[in-house]
Amino acid sequence: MVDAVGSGRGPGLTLLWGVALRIGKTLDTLLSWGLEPSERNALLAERHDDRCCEAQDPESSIFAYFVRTVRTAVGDLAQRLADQRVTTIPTSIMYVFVCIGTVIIAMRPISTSQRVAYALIISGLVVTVITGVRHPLMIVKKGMAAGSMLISTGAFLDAATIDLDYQTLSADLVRAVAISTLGGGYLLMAIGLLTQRGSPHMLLIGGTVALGSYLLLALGESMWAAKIVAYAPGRALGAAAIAIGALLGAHSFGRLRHLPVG
Amino acid sequence: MRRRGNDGLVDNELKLVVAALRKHERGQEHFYGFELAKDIAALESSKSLMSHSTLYRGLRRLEDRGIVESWWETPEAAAEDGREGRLRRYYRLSGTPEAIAAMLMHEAGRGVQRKWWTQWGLGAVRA
Repeated sequence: MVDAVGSGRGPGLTLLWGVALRIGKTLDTLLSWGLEPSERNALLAERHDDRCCEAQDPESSIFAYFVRTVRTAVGDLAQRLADQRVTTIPTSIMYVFVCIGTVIIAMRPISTSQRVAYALIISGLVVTVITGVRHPLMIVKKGMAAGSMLISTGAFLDAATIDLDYQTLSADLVRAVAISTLGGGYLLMAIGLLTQRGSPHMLLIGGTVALGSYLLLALGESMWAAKIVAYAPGRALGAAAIAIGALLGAHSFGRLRHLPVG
Repeated sequence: MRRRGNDGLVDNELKLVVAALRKHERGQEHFYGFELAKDIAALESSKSLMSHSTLYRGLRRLEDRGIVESWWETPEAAAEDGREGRLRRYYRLSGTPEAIAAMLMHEAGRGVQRKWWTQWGLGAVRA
């Protein structure tokens, strides 16, 4: 459709406006992912018409268009994160934060058992993100149960092999408790998902345990990041990413129980 | 910035209603989103248009409250206007301008809204 639009300054669309329209359309498409199909189609069609009108308007400038596009993207992102409607998208975003943080921390020299633990956690997070993004309006038992099981196994292994350094002992203890509780929460959720119809009580209990442990994990990772930032800024950055993800998770995770399990 | 109450409209939504009322005053009964954004920018002497998220979320909320109603144009109408395959959503006020103006005055009869009333020249539409 973009090709059918004129710039308002000549017979055809200028290359710059064509690129600008495509960028806007891509952002709209990305940021509306997971909405109800009819609502999403209406949103995309209305915004596309608006953007084309702006491209055709002789008074508009490309700079103003980009500023408006950025403001729109920020507004959309904030709206999606705080949306009252429940989708798996906010939780998937928090998983991405935790995943990035875990990858950063896993790059330092660590024992084989810890490497296995991180690999399991990262695999579980990736499986869960892919499942959540592909099916934002429901909990897909197969993918979510597999992801939860991997995260749970990795978390237990990580908690068992965590380095207790006397310089960061308090943060390490908080992290160990948080990670093992997280493993327990995910294990309960995986069991809940693997029952024939998806046990809502098990999911509620598992989700509540995981939610509480996310808050504890955010505290532990923040404490750890603050203590190591002077001599290990890379690891501190990873811990900060996990802490941000954990805080986002504490906000969005519990709401997932309102989604249908299928 | 005035925050939304339980049932109230925020500033940007009030701006949309006032811009729609001005259009009605000028004899334009229906309009689309980009037109409103342009009008508001002109009234505020601003170069930047209201963001898409604020604009269309605001219009949805006005529609939910029964202040405006919307419909999609037909593909034939779009083609006639030289917009092959690019449908446009039109809006119009769903009540009389007087009733909407009365609701508006009741809703935010102080400060910001009175200022718009005088500055934006809504002379003919009185509650």
